[in-house]
Amino acid sequence: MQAPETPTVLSILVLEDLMMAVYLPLVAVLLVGGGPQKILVSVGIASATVLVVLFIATRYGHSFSSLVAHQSDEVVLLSIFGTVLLVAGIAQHLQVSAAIGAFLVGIAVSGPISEQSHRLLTPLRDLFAATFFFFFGLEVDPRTLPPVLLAAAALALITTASKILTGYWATRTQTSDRRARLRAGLTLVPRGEFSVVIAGLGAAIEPRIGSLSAAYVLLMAIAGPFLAKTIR
Amino acid sequence: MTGPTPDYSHLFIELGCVAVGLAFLARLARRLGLSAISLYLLAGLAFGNGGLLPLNLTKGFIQLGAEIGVLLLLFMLGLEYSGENLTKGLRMGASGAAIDSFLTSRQVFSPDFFSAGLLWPPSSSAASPSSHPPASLPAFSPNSSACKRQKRRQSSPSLCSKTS
Repeated sequence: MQAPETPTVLSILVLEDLMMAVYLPLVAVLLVGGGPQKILVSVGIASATVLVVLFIATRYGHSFSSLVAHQSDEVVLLSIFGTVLLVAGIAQHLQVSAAIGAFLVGIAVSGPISEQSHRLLTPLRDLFAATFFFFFGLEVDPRTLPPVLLAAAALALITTASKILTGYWATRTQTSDRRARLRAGLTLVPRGEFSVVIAGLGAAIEPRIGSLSAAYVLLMAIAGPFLAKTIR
Repeated sequence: MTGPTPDYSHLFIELGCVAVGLAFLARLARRLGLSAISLYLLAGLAFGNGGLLPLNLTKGFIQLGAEIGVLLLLFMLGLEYSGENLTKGLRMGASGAAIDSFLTSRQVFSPDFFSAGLLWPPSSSAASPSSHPPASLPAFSPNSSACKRQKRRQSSPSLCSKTS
């Protein structure tokens, strides 16, 4: 699709991803819980760590990338995969979520090696991500789904409406075609995959988050293509 | 090596069934134009806790794989940001993303959320939408954006559904 609203939609998605870099460690800390003071301290430590690593990643990402660069796929695959696990482990140890550590490694990798590692790690990602979503389903008891169905439906309605509004508003300068603007909003309507990742962090503490998230993803999976068809 | 090699045949069979089953689901999802992820979830629901047929042998392995899966998902997400992509996005979409994130994430940072510590009863959550912490979660849908970027790179959008 190369509609006029496409760049705007893409950039909104990119920025949302970026905000998650701030959001994920916060949620991880909040999920662990504790008194307000403890939460403040943990949030402070987590945010400081993320900021420092983000600074290092953007500043010295190039030198790291040229250090790792090699013409052999094998060398690159092993070094990148190893670095991801290593940094994730250290991040986890410092109370920042392992996921955010991996994300920051991804930011640090730049230049030609970025394309190469994208090519090399995509199959691995596919394998393990499928495992992850399967495992998430394994952990949720289907009998816990019906009680949260109503809440999930409410969530689906609210988020769908807010996404459509956002897309409609953000593309106001690009095109006056109402249909195109609505379409931009609908592109933003998420399929909720990532909410599963974040819910995975909380499911250990409150199992209902897992159930709610699973119900939500399933609802959105049904509603998404249907919505996309009605707008065309 | 000490002792005889343990018999892994059952593990291999179980893991093989899982992988082939997921492959079938991914195929089905493409045909239906759905996201494969929801079908993976359904498959997990069918076999896991309280499901039809519990998978016991390979659970430890699958759990470790799942953890690595999260790391790789996020790594690949970070990988998408190169300077050009980032600055362009910052300039163009700041307002839109801010609105979207605000609309969806203020629900998370509401006082309800802090006081409840994520332990909200379903009954009260149905009454007041502002106390749904996960309401904000869908704001972050990197997979869908990654799909779009993947399409531009013309590689196979494996975890992406056939959208648009």
